[in-house]
Amino acid sequence: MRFPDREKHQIFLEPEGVDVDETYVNGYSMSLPRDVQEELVHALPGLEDAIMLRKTVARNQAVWDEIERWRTTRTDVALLLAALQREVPASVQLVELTFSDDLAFDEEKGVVRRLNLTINGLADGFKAKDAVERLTRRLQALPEFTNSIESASVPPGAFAADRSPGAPKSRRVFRIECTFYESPLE
Amino acid sequence: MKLPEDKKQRVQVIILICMGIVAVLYVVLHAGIIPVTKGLENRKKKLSIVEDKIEKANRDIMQTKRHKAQNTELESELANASMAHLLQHEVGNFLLPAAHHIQKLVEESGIGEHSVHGMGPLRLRQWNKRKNERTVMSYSVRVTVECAYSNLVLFADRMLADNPYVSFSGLSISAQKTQPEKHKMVFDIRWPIWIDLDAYDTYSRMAAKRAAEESSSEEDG
Repeated sequence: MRFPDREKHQIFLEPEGVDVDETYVNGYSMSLPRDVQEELVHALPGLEDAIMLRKTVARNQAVWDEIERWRTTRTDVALLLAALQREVPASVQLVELTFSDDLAFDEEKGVVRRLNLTINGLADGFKAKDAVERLTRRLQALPEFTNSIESASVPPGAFAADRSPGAPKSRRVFRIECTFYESPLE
Repeated sequence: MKLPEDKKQRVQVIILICMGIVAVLYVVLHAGIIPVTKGLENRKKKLSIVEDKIEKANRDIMQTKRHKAQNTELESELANASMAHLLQHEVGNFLLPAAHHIQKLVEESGIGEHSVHGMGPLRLRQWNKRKNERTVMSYSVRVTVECAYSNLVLFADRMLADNPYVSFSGLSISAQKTQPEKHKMVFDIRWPIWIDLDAYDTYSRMAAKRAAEESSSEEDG
């Protein structure tokens, strides 16, 4: 504080124009934190309901941008599931599907959404491999998937004979792993 | 004035007159014209600075209306998002409204029994570090159901259509040998929530004020 011994300080409220209801508060030092600034302005008689217009616009815009990123970065799971249901070949049976959309911290990008999709299934018949490859190709090609899925593949060893008791010889088990585009949330 | 008859003297007088004229011109130039010109130049510079300032001030004044309109629109959007899409709390509890919302959509989607567990707000260490810069964090619930795949698709479609900010943070579907028509499903649903619980009241008041203003302007109109 520059003059701690003083009990009074004169300030001027300067209208910014004839037809404008914006006022410049002259003589009010504003190097203080935002909430303290607002408190000080509201403490002035007659300015109890005043708003700090330009800073308010900037702050509201930042809040709105933060909320909007929740909308723009989310994955439409309903679209993904519906497309998957439609595209699974008749000889393929899905046994387990795991999807995760985790929020993680990246040093460069800040908080990001990291998504993963793993599909475990069974494929029957002598064209089992073709059917699984077809499904993998569709995951890489159709817009319902490619909007969010970056790559889809059957990892080495993830297509094998079904060794569970009573399984037909022609049955295969498989796993398709999908990686998604990373979306920054800040 | 009569010049002397003597030629030599006449030349001397003429030279003296010329010198006098030069001296007068020098004095007039340096004591009068140059300072006046410099003063004018300085004034022009100052005038140009003032004109620039006035132009900038006028631009700022013109922008005030735009700022006000922009702020009104932003506040209205934030108030709508807060009321309609950010998960509301009941005395600080988020699970109750989340469970209520899910119950409604579960019924609409033809899913039978279900259970909902609150997973609480996600507090990333890095978010906490920068909590002053952030206004929103996430709250998730885990839902466990046994239903057909198509029921889940319907539920997800309604959930996402109902709220553009909500998302599925996790989903696990397992086929059941004993009940092939019903799958065991566990899914996590994530809402954005205000970090500062007072923000709910702030934006509710803002929405109420806006609605009152709109109704009074309609009455006036």
